[in-house]
Amino acid sequence: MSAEQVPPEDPMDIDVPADKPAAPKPKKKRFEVKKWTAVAFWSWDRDNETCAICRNHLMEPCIECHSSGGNDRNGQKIECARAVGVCNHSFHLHCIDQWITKRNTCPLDSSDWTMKEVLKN
Amino acid sequence: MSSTEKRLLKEYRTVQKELRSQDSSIKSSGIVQLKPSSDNLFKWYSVIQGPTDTPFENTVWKLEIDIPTNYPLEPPAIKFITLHDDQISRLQSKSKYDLNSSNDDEWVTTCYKMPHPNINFKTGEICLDILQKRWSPAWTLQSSLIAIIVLLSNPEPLSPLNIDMANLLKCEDDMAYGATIRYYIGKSSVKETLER
Repeated sequence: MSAEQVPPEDPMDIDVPADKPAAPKPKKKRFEVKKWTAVAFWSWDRDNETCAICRNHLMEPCIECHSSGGNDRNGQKIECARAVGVCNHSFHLHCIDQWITKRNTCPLDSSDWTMKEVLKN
Repeated sequence: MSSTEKRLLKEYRTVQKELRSQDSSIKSSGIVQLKPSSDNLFKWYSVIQGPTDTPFENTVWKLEIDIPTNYPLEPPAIKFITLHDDQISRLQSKSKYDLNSSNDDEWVTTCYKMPHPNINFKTGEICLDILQKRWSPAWTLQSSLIAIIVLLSNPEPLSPLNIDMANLLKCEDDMAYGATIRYYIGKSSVKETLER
């Protein structure tokens, strides 16, 4: 029994074998893929995406650098890096530097703050 | 503009958006109003609703919030607005609330006393660790107020600012505790409409 003779009552049950195509191949291709553009998104593999201190996104500069347009008074570009603690929470380096002079804890979990790495965006 | 002002504007936009939307989490948490005074971004006012299933329910309280210039590195100073008896009776006599003709949806019962183990009865100061030595810049004005609302339903009699209320809880006299709160709500409340 060929695939065409199966009554089409429940199309979900028809399991077409890969080597036996259900319908004869159309002579003319209806669509042809001319160009295919893949888009990928990425972000750091960290627990939080927003800096809990200034509430700016961590992919952007901190609230202080944001207003200066990312440049200092002499027009030089300021590096606004992100700091990651051993607890895997991250903040802008500028923000966490200010906070740990008050209390040396992670603002999100209150554990003692220890810097694990500094990432430059 | 300082980074403190920018952060406050950011919080203001978030709060206003949530307060305007119909079924927002901010309203179900009990925050009725939260906004800066019209001429000073470092002084905010809030109105909170007493949590349901506590003696504080069906009543609102007003709070004033003083924000330090280096917020959020330092916590905001939040306290309940309390008034003297004569000030309250003046407000009560001026209230335009009419039991028969007023639409109850527009009116709230604002209480100007706060009998609670962790709140100073005279000044309205609040004893809450996260607003003092356990403050973290990850807190916001909104989350601080939610913490205060949670404190109303979860008093901590072991670190009291109001010893009389704490003692009622320590000897597990829930009936006297609730009755005292309801007594002050009945005596020191004003029927008001809230400005939007």
